[in-house]
Amino acid sequence: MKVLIAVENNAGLDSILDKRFGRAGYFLVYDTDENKILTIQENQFKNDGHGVGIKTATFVIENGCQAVIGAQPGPKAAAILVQANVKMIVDDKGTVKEALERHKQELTV
Amino acid sequence: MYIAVASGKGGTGKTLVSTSLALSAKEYRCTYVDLDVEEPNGAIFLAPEIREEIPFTLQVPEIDENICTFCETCAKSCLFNAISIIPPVKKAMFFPDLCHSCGVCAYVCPVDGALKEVAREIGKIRIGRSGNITFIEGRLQVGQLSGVPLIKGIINDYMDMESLFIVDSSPGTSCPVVESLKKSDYVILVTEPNPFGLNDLKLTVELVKELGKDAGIIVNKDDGKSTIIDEFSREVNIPVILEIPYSIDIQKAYSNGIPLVVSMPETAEKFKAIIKMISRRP
Amino acid sequence: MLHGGSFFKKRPHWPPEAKMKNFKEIVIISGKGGTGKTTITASLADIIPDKIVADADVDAANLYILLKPGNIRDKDFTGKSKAEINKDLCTNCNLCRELCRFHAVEFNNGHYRVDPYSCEGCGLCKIACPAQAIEMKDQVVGKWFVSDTEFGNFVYARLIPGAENSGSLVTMVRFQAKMAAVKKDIKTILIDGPPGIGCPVTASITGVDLAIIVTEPTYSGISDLERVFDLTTHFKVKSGIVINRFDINPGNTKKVESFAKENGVPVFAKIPHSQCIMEEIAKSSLPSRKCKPLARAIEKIYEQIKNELL
Repeated sequence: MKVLIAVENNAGLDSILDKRFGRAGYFLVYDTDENKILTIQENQFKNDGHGVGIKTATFVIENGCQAVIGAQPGPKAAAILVQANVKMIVDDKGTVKEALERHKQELTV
Repeated sequence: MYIAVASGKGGTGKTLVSTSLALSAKEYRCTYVDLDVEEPNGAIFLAPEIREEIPFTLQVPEIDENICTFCETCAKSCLFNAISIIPPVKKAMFFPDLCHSCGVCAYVCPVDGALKEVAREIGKIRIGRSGNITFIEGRLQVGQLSGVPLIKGIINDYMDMESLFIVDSSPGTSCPVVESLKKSDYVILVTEPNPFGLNDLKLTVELVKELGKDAGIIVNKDDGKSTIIDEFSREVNIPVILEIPYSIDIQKAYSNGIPLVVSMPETAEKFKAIIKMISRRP
Repeated sequence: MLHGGSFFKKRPHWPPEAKMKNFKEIVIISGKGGTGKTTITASLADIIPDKIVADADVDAANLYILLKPGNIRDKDFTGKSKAEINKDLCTNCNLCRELCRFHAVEFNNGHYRVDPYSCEGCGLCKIACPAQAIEMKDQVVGKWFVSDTEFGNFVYARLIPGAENSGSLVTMVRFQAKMAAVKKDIKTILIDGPPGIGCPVTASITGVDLAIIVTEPTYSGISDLERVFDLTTHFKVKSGIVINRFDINPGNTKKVESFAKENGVPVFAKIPHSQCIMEEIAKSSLPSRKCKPLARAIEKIYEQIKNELL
């Protein structure tokens, strides 16, 4: 499955998980079936006003992600992700590599 | 004539002053308008008999998921992120507290009948009388983020008659205050003679000058010693039009909802004189 | 169609933000202005060890007067964009003025112009303009500051008078305070909140661990207490009450205490009215260092904070 991970920096699998969700520095989309990074993009929304998380949640859905790993999304973003049946894994510690390993079980369909 | 009573800092005595002005305006056809819609307190001192309570509504989108094609045009066009469309599960989500009721979503929706606008209540307008004074109050529903549409609504729809309007605005200097001051003829700035009061008075004066309004300062809780407000008043060329002494008796009376002109009748003359002065300006 | 707002009320059982962070956020609010929020925040900053202080009252920031910041680093804050009409492209068709729900388009001296004080930044005029003569331009609406004080790092902000986006700027102030707390591994963030119940107050209370509501025993104060308490309940924020100048009206103080009891909210302390506090404020000095009754009450509040947050 595809999973979006909210990270601070662009360092591939060594990217550090961000303490924010909607205003994270970068979004990394990882494919657990193909075991590769599909894209790392700078977060275009992070300086927006209210409702940033909504844009992030929309981004998650547009990229076909079925799970997200990162800091706790705000209530509106969370509401959208729940409606879209996207699994929320709340974890903002360490690197992408470590997080993927930690949550291996939850990321198998 | 529209006299707005403002203060940068909260708790300086806006409501004390605005209710006193209204109660002293016996020779005029006076309307007291409470635009401090987040925390309206004028009624505590004027004890009006309320005759009408009108729900104030804004137009907000309602999406019919059976007709909607989930093209996401509305969501993408909303600059406030108030709409989220989720095509994979054919769901439309609306976040009312982000909605500014601007009409963009309805304008851009390409599908007939998919999105219509419906009324959503955000607060109430209460109208009544207190003696000879017409009383109008805006009261924002707790949980609503902005009182600005309610303030605009009252000014546009309930203040078009001939009257002496005494308008109590909210503390601070941001948009609710701007709305309350925009159409005024004169702004009374209420402050306290201490660094907090001065700091916030400076901000409000900036705003008043930006809006090009005539203004005067009332110093409340005056200790007779401090000169910081007088000095500032001279610097910015805005006169101090009244000093209300600091008095524990005034505070106690205030705490029981007793207006100043009732607990200290001698002040009524002073407020009457202020109204006369303002109405006589060129 | 789903309402995101009501949805939130029905299913708030995702893990609370509090569990994710290793600092606690305490906000001091009041409903009514002028009850003593800033004085109390500064006094708490003086006795709570190891904290970051933030002033979220961005419309009328006063805390800096008592904390006396130094080494101030500032950054511009951009608010929402506003519409601007390009005179050279405009064909005077009047469509923008007809459509604008905020009456923000003026026609003066043969030209159309957007009044930035009325413009909501919705973009409807830009979308509708047949000549594509309207653009949305970013506005700098204020500044935020990070500074050092004898009490630790202090974050505050200033909004340009008349500007909107108080809520976003409050969010920025809180965010900067959180980043400082994480970086320096500091356990407490003390936030001086704004008056009222609108957007900036909401932005200052969401996700905090404790809201201290400062009230006064006046009819106005009680009325405003009820409204701001409605707000903290709506956002499921734990609260405690402080009654300032309680002795100016013992009857009303009892009313506040009854209200607190009925609603299961603790009264953390009652502070007597005092000439000493007014005199110290007039000198921009921290009143709790000289005025003993205030100092005692602050100690009490701190004890209660420790109780509630353990």
